[in-house]
Order: sequence, then C-alpha cells, then structure tokens
Amino acid sequence: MRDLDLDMFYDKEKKEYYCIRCQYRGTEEDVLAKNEIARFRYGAIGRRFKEEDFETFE
Amino acid sequence: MDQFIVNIIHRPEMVPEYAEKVTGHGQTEDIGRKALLTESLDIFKTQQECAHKNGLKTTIEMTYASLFNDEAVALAKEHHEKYGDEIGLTLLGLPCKEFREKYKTKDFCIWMFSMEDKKAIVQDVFGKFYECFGFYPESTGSYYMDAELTNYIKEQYPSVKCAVATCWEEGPKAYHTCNNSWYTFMDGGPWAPWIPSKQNTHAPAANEAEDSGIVAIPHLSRDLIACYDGNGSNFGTHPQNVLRGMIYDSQTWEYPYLYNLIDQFRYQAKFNNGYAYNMMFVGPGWMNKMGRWEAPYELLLKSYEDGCAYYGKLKKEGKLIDMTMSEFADFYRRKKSYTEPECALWRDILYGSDKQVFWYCDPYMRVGMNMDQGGAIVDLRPYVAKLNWPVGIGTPHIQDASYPFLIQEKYRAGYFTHYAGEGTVRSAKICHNGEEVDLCLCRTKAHFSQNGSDRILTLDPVDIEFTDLTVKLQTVITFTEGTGGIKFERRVLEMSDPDAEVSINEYMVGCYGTTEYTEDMSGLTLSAEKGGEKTELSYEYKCREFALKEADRVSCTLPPVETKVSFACEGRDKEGYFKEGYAFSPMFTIGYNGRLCDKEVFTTWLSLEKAD
Repeated sequence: MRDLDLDMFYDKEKKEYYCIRCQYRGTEEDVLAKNEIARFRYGAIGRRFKEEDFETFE
Repeated sequence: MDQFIVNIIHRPEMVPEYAEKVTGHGQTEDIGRKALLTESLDIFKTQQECAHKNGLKTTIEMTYASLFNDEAVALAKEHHEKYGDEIGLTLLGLPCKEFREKYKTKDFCIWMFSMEDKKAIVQDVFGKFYECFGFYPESTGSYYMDAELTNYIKEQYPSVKCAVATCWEEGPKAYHTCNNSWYTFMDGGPWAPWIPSKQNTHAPAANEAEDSGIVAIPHLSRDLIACYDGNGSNFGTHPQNVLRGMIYDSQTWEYPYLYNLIDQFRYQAKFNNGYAYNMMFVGPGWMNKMGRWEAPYELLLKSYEDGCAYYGKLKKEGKLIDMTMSEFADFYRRKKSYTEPECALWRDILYGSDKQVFWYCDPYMRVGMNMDQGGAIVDLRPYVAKLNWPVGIGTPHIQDASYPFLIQEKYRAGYFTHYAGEGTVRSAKICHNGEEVDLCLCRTKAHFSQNGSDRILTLDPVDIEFTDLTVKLQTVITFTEGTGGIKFERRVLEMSDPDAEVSINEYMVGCYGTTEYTEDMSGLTLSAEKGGEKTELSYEYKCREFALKEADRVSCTLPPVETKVSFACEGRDKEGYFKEGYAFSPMFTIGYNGRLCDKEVFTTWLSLEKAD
C-alpha cells in the first residue's frame, strides 16, 4: 500500500514487490488491491460539487 | 461581474530531477542523455498542444537548460507569434552540461545557493535569455524566491514584473512525504497572488516603499484543507499530483476532484471583491513516458488533456479569462490595493466531511481558522514583523525558507495534547459551576460578509451544555483592513436560565518556530499593563502566572521573530493574565477572563506588531 511517496522495489526471483523501509511485501495484485484500500480516506472521491455545495452542508 | 483568472505555465525543463532518476534508473547519471532531453521536449510540446487546442494561451518559462536547445528556443518564438504565449524565464531547470561545468555542483535550487552564486547564476541565465531572444523577460520564478534574490533581479532586470515565488505549505510535512529527502522548507506563505515585500517574500508589501516590484504567484494552487491537514503534495490543480494522491477511480480513470478544486477556486471570487485566481504549472517530468508510480503514461496524458479541456470549456462559457503571467501582473496591480486582504472560505471537497476553514492574508498576518474547532485560530504567521530571513548557503537558514508561526496546530499540538501541557491555538472556554467547555469542541460554520474595510465571519451559534444550564453562544470575528488586529465577539444569544451567569476565558497558547521542534523560549517577555503600569516576566520555563484585574492589555514579545502579540478586552469583570510554560510544555499563554450573562457580549482583540 503506497501511503507515502515511497517507491517499492521488485524482487524478480521471488516475484514480489517490497518496501526497503518497512516490512511490506506483496505481489502486484496485492499492491494494487492495497492501493484501492488506501483510497478509503477519500470519502468524496466520486462526488462532483456544484457551486451551491461550497457553502451547503449536511 | 466575477473575474476568474487562470495562468497556465509550461516549462521545457530538459532534465527534471525525478525524470533523470526514473528514466535513468539503473544507469550512471547522465543529464545529457539524448533520450531524456528529447522526451522532455516532446512532453513540453504535448502540454503546449493541450492548452492551445482548447483556446488557452500559456506562459512559457524557459529554463536555462532549454536556452541551449535550438529547437526549444524556436518553439517558444513560434508559439509566442502564433498563440500569444509569453516567453518568460524560470530559474527552475538549471541542470545542464553548461551549468554543471561552470558551477561544479549538483545543486539545482537557486534559493539555496550562496548569494554570490545566486547573482552569478542570474546573470548567466538572464544573459543567455537575452542572447536567444533579444529582450529580457517580464516573468520569472522559482520554487522559492527569497527576497534578496528578487531584489537583485529587479535591480538588474527591471522588466521583470511577475514571478512564481513560493509553493504553499511545503514545509516539514512535504519533507516527510518525500521520505525525508526534500531538503527545502517553505511553509507560511500566501496561497494566492500577492505583492511580496522587499524584506520577506512571504510577507505582502504594506505600501509602495515595501513593494518588491513584482506580483508573485504560488507555484501551485492547492487545496486549502487537504494540503494543510495532509501530506501536502497531492492536492492541487496539478492533474498528476491528483493522480499521485490516488484521487481517481482506478477502473474509470475519472477524477472529479480536479474539477471540484478548480471550481472552489472560482468560488473564492465571492470573498475577494469579485476576483478569483487559479494556476496550473506542471513540469514535463510529471508526464514521463514510463509513467509515474501506478499511473501509466496514458493516464498522465489524459489527466492533463482533461484539465486543459475543462479550463477551455470555462473560457468558452465566459467564466474564465486566461492570461499570461505578465498580463496578470498588470491586472493584479489595477485590481488590488496593498492593504486589501486575500480571503478564502474553503470546505472539504475530498474526504467527505463538512469541515470548513477560513484563511486570511494581508501585510500584517496570515491566519488559518478551523470551524470544526469553533472558529479557533490554528495557524498564525506575523507578517507584520517583515522578518529579514536570508536563505541559502552562508545564511542561518540554508534550507528553511518558511515564515515562522506563532500558532501551528499540526506541528505544535493544537487544542488537544496526548499528555501534559498545552498546544498552540487561539480559542475560548466557557465555564459554569466547575464545568468547562472549550469552543474548540463546538463545531460550527462561518458566513462571510464585508462592511467597508471589515471582513466579517459570523459563525453559526453553538449550544454549550452544562449539567444545569444550556448557553447559546455566537462568535463574530472581524478583520479590519490595515490594522493587524482581529476582533472576537462572543455573544450570548440565549440561556436556559435567563438569570444565570457563566465565566469566559479568552486565550491564546503560542510559541514560535518553523518546524515541529521547539525553539528556545528564553528571551521572550510576557507582560500585563494597566493605566500606564506594566508588569513583566522574562520567560524561564518556570510555569509562573500573573493576573491583573481590568488590565488594558496583556502581551508576549518574541524577539527571535521580532513580534509582539497582544490582547485587549471589553467585557464585564475582565481580568488579563499571562502564563509562562515549562520544559515539557514550552508555550506561553495570554488571555482574559470575564463573565457573561444572557444577551451580553465579551469582546477581545488580538493584535500583532513588529517588535524591536
């Protein structure tokens, strides 16, 4: 999961991505799946705001 | 009628620092690699095409490296003739064979060189520009332009009238984002255009004498909540930064957030006398043919095309005026006066909350207020001090170009601390029968209005509930142009027991610095004044307090940032006080206690002055 602006590296023998700073390791599929999870914080990721929304609240 | 002005800026960077790392990964560094230079120029051409096909003109900020490339120079001339693009000159993009041979360094950030080298580099770059084009530029810029650099450029090349001069909130949090390898800090500046003072780039000029001679624009137009609360780099009208933040649907490649950002910037015309500004400045390295992180080149390209298409659509609808940087400088000087503030009432458009903040910037101060914390001041920068803060090799601040804060809720804890002590914030507590409620825990919303030279935030009333009493309290905050003061009025609209009384504690917990780490507080002086008499205390971390009934003023003088911050008050049974901190809580507190009944008002003024 890419939380910070860190690059992961690929070990072609083990066919896995790994982070050199933490303990994460995983396949490309797992990295992409975790990237989806990282989007959890963006509650309005799909919302299109209109002008009247900028000062209207739930 | 509202005017929404957009600057689209492109630079043929030739060797973006991250592109060399990416395209050259696993190879010995070679900034002259033909493949790299060719790709960089191709990407610049693509960016230009994206803008032009949508009817938009650009400012082409030539880089030093590009001035040695005949094709880049010819392209700039052609696009100037054909599309009305401005040919400007950036001080980004210095790295090239010629630069490295002369300066023998891999350093590439103009603002961090020694002053002697800054001057030499400026002469080289501007001289080469003249050689290529036969005139000197009207716009320039860099990621940061320290005041000494700007003053030198204006002295040597008076044609310059506009510059990219800082990037919003690029301090320690950006450093953390980039695995602690982004060795340049620049927190504390304006988020929208301003006229920098000669003394300090972040601090707007208060008058003609302070005027640096340029109109400055930020390097990026950024989300005024996400970039302050978050890691900073992913949240701006820079399409690939949005991708970097993964703020898109990975299946559909849609990113409504990008358009929401543009639209919320447009909306700021409501708070700035009908004027709003936005800019897009994307270097070619962000459209690397190998892609960046998870985003393939096709997505990087699509996002740029879509961004330009949206600006083009707004222009066709008469909702946007595209200008070059030099055109904008002329417009800005006609439009704004020195003391007129920049205001932003901004809501969360990313995380799905109702969080709302207000940012205010004028020659005296930059203020950030959080309505989720009852309108508390959570960021405060004393521009009035106009700090002399040289940056670069040979100065006391080689990398740290931030403008110091007095309050910064992220770096210095804010309202809530996990352990002992207090964090920096400006708020108030209401107390009744041994119970206490801080307005930081009373979420509200703000409504902006203007009355002459006053900018007024009227907050929705909040209900403060004690065991045996409910108080409906409304806060009204007034910024008066040209005064360096902020008035807070706390109005009791209603009490469940109309005969009850509450006490109020208006306070500010402050310190100073630019990072998360405490500075030496010795040398600060706390004082309370009444009728010409003054009681002072020199800060020694001894946790001492002093209170004075009917005090005229309480204050803290901070010599390291040449600032005096003070409170004055009008309210029943007012008592001014100050508190010294201690080693585990290295802050100071100034404030006023008082009492309030139903329908009464308690008023305090926070003022900032330059201190000798």
